[in-house]
Amino acid sequence: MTDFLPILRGIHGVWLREIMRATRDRGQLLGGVSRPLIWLLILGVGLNPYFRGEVFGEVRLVLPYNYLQFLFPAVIVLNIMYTSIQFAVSVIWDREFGFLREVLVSPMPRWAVLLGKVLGGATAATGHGILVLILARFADVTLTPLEVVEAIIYMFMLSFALTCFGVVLAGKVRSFEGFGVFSNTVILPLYFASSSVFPLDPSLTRTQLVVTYPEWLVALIRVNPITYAVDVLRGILIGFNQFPPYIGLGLVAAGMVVFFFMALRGFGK
Amino acid sequence: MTGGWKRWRRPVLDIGLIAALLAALNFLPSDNSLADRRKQGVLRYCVSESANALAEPRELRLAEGIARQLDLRLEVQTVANIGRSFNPRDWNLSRGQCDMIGGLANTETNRNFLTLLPNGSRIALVRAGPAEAPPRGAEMGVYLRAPGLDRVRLASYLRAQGWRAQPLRTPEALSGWLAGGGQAIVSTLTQLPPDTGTNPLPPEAGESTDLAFGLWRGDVTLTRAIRNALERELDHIPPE
Repeated sequence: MTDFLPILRGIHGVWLREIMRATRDRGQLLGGVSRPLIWLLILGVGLNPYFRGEVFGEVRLVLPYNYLQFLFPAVIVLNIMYTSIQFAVSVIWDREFGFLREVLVSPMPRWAVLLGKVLGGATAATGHGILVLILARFADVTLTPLEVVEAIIYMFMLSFALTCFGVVLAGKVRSFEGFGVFSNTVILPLYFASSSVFPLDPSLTRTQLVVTYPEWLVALIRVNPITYAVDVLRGILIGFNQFPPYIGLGLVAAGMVVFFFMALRGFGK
Repeated sequence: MTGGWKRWRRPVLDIGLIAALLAALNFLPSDNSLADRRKQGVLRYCVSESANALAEPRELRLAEGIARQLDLRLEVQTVANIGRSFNPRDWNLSRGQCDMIGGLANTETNRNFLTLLPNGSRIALVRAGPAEAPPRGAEMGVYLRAPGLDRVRLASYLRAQGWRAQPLRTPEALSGWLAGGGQAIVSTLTQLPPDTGTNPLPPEAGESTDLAFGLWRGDVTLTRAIRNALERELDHIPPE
């Protein structure tokens, strides 16, 4: 126990440093606000009329929710994805400027340094998810305190997995510029191919679905883990699940462990 | 303490400012649905001709209260088409005709098409006619008209009882059928001829469900205003 306390203090120190850096970076904070504004206020409001009911008996949006409600959990996931994966820039930064070398020669084990960094990144990303939650009234999403707590816990799990994923990516890229381009080519395709902005009718079979959408797109959505990650948050926030929620929860939990160990393998090399 | 605050002051102020900005954005209207109603000064409330507002006075009182709270005049429109066929699309109820639809069962079928706000009244299926159920092989009139009820479940129940369903399409057909000694499955909203007895049906025939107001999906601001007004009305007119 006495051996473990210094490690805990070390993890706390690294976590606090990441939090301070995230909260002092006004650019990152502005990014956390501008994404929900663009996606929810502009895209959501702009497309909402095209999904609304016009004649009783006819549906355009196959789910019993309006488009803003449908989009709301996906915008939270988008904000978390950007903040988590972009967090890895700090790893490149630390590597470039020698901070990482200094920390890694300290008595703290390598896994504890990584854990502190990832917890810091996940906390910042969860904070950015919470910023979107503030817009719940605008999207006409009514939340109970329990739902808010559940959502925050799940958002933290997702942030942790994605932050580790970002660190894995950072291990493959050597420059800031390269990482910026690389992360966008990962985040946006994952997001768009995840049934986040358009619904797959849950009542349709796969055969029926491929009548509406091309088969390759349906296949892409079904193999995309973000599809299931968004689906779990939809279940918590608007009570709608397209897939059994344990799939998404299982994938996120597995992602936390697998990506952490993958990140640890490349961390500080 | 002072040093700690100094260190965190700027981030706390930044985050507070951002949170306040986002909270303020919540008060931007998400659409024009409420503004349009206010411009016209009317809330168009559609109900079925058979299960009309007079048959469900509580719903009408709630609708009047909602309109009053929104500073709108309630325009009740009885629509003959409602319930005429199995498919609600055939009723030709459009956004241009109604803002709010009454007398709807709070069922998944209806939720697929509209945003439903349960209003505390209930709807159930009953057997109209003498207390004694007809024998197997007898014809049983069916006059539902209330949209969204589980017809498949009812059909299974009728088959299990050995009754042959006889669809009745108009109030006159129902009255004639009952006057001729027949029995019929109707909803609790149906206006029956005087002295017609009703008998509850078992759950296998269909559960009793909430009645709900139906609003067009996507009308965010109007739905929110009506939901809030309905909650306040329910304080005065408690659920049945």
